[in-house]
Amino acid sequence: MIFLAGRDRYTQRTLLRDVHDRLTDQASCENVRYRPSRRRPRYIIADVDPTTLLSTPYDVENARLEIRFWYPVGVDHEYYRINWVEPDRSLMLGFHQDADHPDLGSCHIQLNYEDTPVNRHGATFFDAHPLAVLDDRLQQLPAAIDSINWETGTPSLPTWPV
Amino acid sequence: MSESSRDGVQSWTESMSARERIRSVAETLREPRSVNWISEQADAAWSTTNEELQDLVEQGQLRRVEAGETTLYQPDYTRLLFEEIRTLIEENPREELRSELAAITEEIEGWQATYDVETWEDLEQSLADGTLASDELRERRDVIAFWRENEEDRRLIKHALELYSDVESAREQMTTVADRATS
Repeated sequence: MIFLAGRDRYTQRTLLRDVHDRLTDQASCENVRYRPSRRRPRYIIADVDPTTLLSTPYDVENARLEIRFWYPVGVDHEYYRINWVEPDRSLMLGFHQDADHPDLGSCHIQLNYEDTPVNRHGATFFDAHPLAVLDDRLQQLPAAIDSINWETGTPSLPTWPV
Repeated sequence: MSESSRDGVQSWTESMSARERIRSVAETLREPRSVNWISEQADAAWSTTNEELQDLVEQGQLRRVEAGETTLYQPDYTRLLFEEIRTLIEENPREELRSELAAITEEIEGWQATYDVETWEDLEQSLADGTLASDELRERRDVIAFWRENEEDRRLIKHALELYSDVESAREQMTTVADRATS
């Protein structure tokens, strides 16, 4: 087999363009962009109208999705972070499939508040194509956000069953 | 479509056709896969998937791989490489490509200074250092991934700049021929 240097990066760039197009087609997403640039895509970021995306009244006006997929050396599945970020109240809820927290398995869900991790739970590893995984995780996002428990102004994620 | 039915997170089966999903899955495979696997991932009928994959093979987007009794499909990676270069040339003025190269170099120099290493491989070796805290490990792993992506993008952008003039003059010739044909 001919080895092509950086082959995964062409695949990753194509994948990130597909993610970009997928978010552009979502009615609740606006200003979908690449970071640091379209020439060098690593993250796809979209501004989100929470009430539209969650299909329910939500008392935060601004949120964004930050999505990254990448292929690390020596691992036979993709890594990703699919983050829901509420900048106004310093909250981040994300599905992370990476080398952090192997005790929780290949994938975990993490809640950060004011830049500090509050809770983490293992999440199911999907042996699936990244675009199918993205679809599943986006479908789960409203339930995940709904699971956040606010008490005296502090959020927590008591459980995550999926 | 009414406004309310567009609320919520649309699944990709709502926003893309079966053929579009099959194409997306097939063109971003990292390893050869079967019709069954691709149809399952794309949530599409087997027959539609099979037809679309044959079309993609005929168009040169996919390669067929015989593995024993099974036929598998994978992207034509050489074609992907040239398409990336073509996209870079068509979407960007030369100056933007040069600025991106400068940004990549600057970022790598920043990491070299921060971690006192020359290459991402050096930084990877530092992960074995048992004294690193978990957030430091995480940060270094991220930098290693970004660094590799930067090196691969630098190679692509350099190829695009090297071919820029040739692609431009090929395009000009096509325009000239088209002008002559219509005048």
